[in-house]
Amino acid sequence: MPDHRYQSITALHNQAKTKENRIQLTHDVLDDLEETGQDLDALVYLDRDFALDQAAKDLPHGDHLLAGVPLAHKELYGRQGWPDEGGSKTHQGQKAKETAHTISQLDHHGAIDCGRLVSVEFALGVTGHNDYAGTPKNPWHHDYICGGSSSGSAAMVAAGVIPASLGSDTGGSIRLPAAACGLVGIKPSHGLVSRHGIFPLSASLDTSGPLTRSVEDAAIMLDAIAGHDPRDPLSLNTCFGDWRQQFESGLGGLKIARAEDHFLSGVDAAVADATETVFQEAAQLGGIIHDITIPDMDLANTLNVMLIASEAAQRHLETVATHHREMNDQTVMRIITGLHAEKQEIAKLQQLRADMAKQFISHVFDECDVLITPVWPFLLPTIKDSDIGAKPEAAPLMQRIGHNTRPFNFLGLPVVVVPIGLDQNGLPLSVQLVGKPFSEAVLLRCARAFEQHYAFWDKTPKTQ
Amino acid sequence: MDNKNRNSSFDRLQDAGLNPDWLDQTAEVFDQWRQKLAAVNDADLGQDDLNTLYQRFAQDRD
Repeated sequence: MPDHRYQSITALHNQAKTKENRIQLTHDVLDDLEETGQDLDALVYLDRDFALDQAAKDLPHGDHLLAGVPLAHKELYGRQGWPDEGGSKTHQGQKAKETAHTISQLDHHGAIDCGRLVSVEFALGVTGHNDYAGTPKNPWHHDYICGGSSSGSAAMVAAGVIPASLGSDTGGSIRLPAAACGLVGIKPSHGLVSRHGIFPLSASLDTSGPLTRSVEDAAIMLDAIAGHDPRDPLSLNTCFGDWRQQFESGLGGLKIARAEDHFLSGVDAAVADATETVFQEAAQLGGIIHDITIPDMDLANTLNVMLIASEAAQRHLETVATHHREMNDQTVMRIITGLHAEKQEIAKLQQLRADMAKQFISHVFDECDVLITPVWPFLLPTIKDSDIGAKPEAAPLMQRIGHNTRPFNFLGLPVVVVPIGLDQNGLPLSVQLVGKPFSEAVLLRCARAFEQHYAFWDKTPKTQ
Repeated sequence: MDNKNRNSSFDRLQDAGLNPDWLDQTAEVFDQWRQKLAAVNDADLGQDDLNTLYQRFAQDRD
């Protein structure tokens, strides 16, 4: 196994201190991205010359832990001159006109950008299927999906080729792949991370965040990408300290909410049972469990789907009109559903987001610090069984996938996914930790406690 | 979008050869969502949008 496999950001940073080592490490990761990326159907683009040029530069001042660390990201992240196809044949050959703010931030901290990884077409799907760019295989078992839409990012991080990758989340597209592949994933608070330069799906719901193998690496990535950007109209200016500030505080004294309605009652027994053990173990670790009821989550779920479709229709109408024959049928159907929205309905959706968020935050977070729920509502399906194109009868089941993730996009809340073990098929099981606005440090503290308890970092997929 | 623009968009998609059944099928799906949205009383709506709400949380941290 290559030396860089399954290494943390800090370990790779320490390996890459000298220029000679940095160039060698970048060579090794580029080779691995090419070979493993093709093996897993997860690679879209590599730029060897660009990455090696970055590696040959002096490290920036400040010695950020990302300096010298090779990464690759979801293909929606623009870099000027690189392919910008949005996972769709309709944009074949299109190049990015500018570099995403988050990518510039990683450059600023000295990270090395090797290339781009597969996304579902226009990020509009949660199983990971993509007939054009590829359907990534889950490194834990190649017959199974990685989830979507940040499928390529999840595959390559879970395979240990890179320690981190940026994804995007509009209805669960960071959290579902992170959970499917045994990774930590962060969907940040509304406004915390700029979306400028990321191929858009939904102007008001899109969020940007990392997928990593460890909680510490997730915190390092968030540290690099969070912050105000005037080019994103929804970016907010807030101060934040070190995300790892509370890292070793454990669960002691944290008030943890358990909501049976919607989040546990709406999932299969195997998932509910696994989540229940998390509450029991959290209590043993010093957490205080509060049973709560949360109204309107089914409504938030539906309204999120409605807003994604409505905004995607506004954004992609022209593409559908001119190139629908080159698009996946499911993508076309999802977009044109949103064309039926009326202007006043979209305005009402936006007002409801604020009202429901206000009520939810008060209802849950006046009493509790963290809400824990399952991520996937059922055990991970195979690529074959979840292919709606080939198997239309699977559609109703696949539409349930975002049952527990979509409400938090609608409410704008921060969420961290953390793995808790393996299911009966040897595939990862995970939970999501939800907090009040800008409470990422608390969520990472909680995730860190679970990471240490479940020792998931030590588990790696068997090579197939 | 307003009704006029929506209708011209549908016409355009049909002219572009999009399966007309898809427009009917998607209209049915959207109507189901629409009923849920309509069930929320407009008089109960506040004035803020989500960005304004989160801006207040952001300022509280400063």
